[in-house]
Amino acid sequence: MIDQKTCTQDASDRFDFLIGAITVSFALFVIFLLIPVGVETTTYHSQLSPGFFPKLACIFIGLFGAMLMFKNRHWALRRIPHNGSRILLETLAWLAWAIATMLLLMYVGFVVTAAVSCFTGIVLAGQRRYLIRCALGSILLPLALQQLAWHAFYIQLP
Amino acid sequence: MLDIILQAFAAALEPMNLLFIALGIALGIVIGVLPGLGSVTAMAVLIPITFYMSPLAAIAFLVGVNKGGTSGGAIPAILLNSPGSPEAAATAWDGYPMAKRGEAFRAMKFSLFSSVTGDTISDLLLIVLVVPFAAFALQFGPVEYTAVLLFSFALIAGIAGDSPLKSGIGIFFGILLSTIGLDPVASTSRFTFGQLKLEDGLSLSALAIGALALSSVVIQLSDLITRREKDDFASNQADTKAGRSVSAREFFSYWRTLIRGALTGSLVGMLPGLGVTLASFLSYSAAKRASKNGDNFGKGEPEGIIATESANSAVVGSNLIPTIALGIPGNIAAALLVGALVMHGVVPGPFMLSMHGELIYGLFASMILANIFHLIIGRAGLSLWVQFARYPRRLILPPVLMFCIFGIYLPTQSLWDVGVMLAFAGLGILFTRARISIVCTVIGFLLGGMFETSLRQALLLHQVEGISILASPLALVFLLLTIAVLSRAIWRSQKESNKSA
Repeated sequence: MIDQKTCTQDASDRFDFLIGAITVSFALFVIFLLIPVGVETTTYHSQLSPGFFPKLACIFIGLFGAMLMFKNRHWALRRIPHNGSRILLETLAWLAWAIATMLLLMYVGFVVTAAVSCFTGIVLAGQRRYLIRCALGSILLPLALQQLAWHAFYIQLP
Repeated sequence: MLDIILQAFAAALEPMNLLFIALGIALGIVIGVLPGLGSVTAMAVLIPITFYMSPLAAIAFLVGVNKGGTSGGAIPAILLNSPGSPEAAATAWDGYPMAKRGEAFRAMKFSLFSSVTGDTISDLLLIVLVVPFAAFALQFGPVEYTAVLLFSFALIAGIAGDSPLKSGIGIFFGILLSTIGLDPVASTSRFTFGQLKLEDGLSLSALAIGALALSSVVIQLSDLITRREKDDFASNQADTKAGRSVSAREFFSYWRTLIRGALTGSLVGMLPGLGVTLASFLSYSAAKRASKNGDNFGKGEPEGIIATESANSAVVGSNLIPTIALGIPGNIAAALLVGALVMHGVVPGPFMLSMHGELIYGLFASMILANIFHLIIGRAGLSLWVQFARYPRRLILPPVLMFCIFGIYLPTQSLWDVGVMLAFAGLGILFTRARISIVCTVIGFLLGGMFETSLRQALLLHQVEGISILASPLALVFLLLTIAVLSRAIWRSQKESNKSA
């Protein structure tokens, strides 16, 4: 039991080291690449540059990231399995779902998108009984919202 | 004076006025429950309707909507761990664990009762202290605001998440996100890359609902799909009276937390711009430090709900102090009220109390009456909302996505904002799983604009007039407090890591 707990703690510390490294890289990327490209400068000399505040925020992000790396430096070179890849996979799965939702919203509208997403979610989450009722509910709820938006606020949902 | 107060109460007690107050509170609670549609959206949508009402009924109706909306946001936070608004995020920290162990009804009762109590204390303070406290609010310039915001960031980093370093990353990432759009001084573009939609920056409601509410729902669904969690939320709910009730004795045993929360909310509310979210987190932090059950905070401690809800509701009354005394709206809700007042021919400002005394005291009386209605309507509604806790999560969670899309699309009719919400739900998932507090990111984003403006103004004052931070005792006190809070957080973190090693 203690071994398992220590193992989880080690994995978490190793993962924190990686988070620190990613954070520092992100801060450097924003300071040296994104701010020079994405922030317009002015010739108005008595004011601080528009890039000052984003740079300040990034310096603190980088600083905290470096401190996180330093705190967990003992795990830098140890190959301990951690949750990073699973988290990345989960986030990517959500992004795929989100892109599909946006495309459906743009091309087939709110009612179909909401009905499909709601029913799929219910089935994926483990509902196996009363599926016809669930499907009906998944269609009626967005229809009711669409009618509410139109009749109460005169807003046409996509 | 007494005559005016009596006349004001008589006007407030008129049946039509009472009806509009009750309607406002009921609408506010229902709209507040929907993610994305908080009290501010509800007020914005309902202002045109008030054109046909008397000035007092109109303002009382909008105040009712604001009160109901602020407390309504706590309901999804408790039942779904999906706060309807950023200010309810801290309510979810203790409300959801309570609901999970079968005390959803009790958690909602604690939330409602503390909301009404905090609101009432704040309203009484508003009536008594409107003039002298407005003068105090004027003491706060850019230097003081910068110090207060730094102190708030330090406090929030100390209480949110398991590591102050990761919370710091979250806060400054939020601040960085707040710089997207036009520079507040030079009006040049920052990180817009030619996209006009980005010139106004990212929408706060889209970011907050995506990162806080939707990401939490997706994580819960993902845990159900991958069988990491059992769908036992509904079966856990207590059916016995003892498991559902909150006695007056039990509730008022937390009187210190209640009063502290109400005073924190009132103080934050009367300083223009700081807002409801900051009040709830400051109060939560203070309660956690002061309570003997501090270690139980975040695990389903009623005191956490009381601290948060009493503070965020207290802001509703006190943000009218700068509005009435100085004509400066304390937050967006107060700005909308100013708009409604102007629509009814009342010009807000220092002379409002003398020129429209009857209306203002009528508003005060309506606010007190609104609290009674809030308690009655809110309590009746709890029996309805708690039914949602009796259905399996697999049926309750999937429709939340459609409500989020509906809530975000309705005020702006922009698919762009829906996209922002979905993207930030992804960020919320990533941060939550990596144990970086996403609440810190949302708060950093929320206060980032104000922090930048006040810091730049403070630096400019230093450059032009040589005013340094040392010249302001208030700022100095807050800076010293910031150093103390940061040192304590680092010391505690070090102690915990030594313990685990």
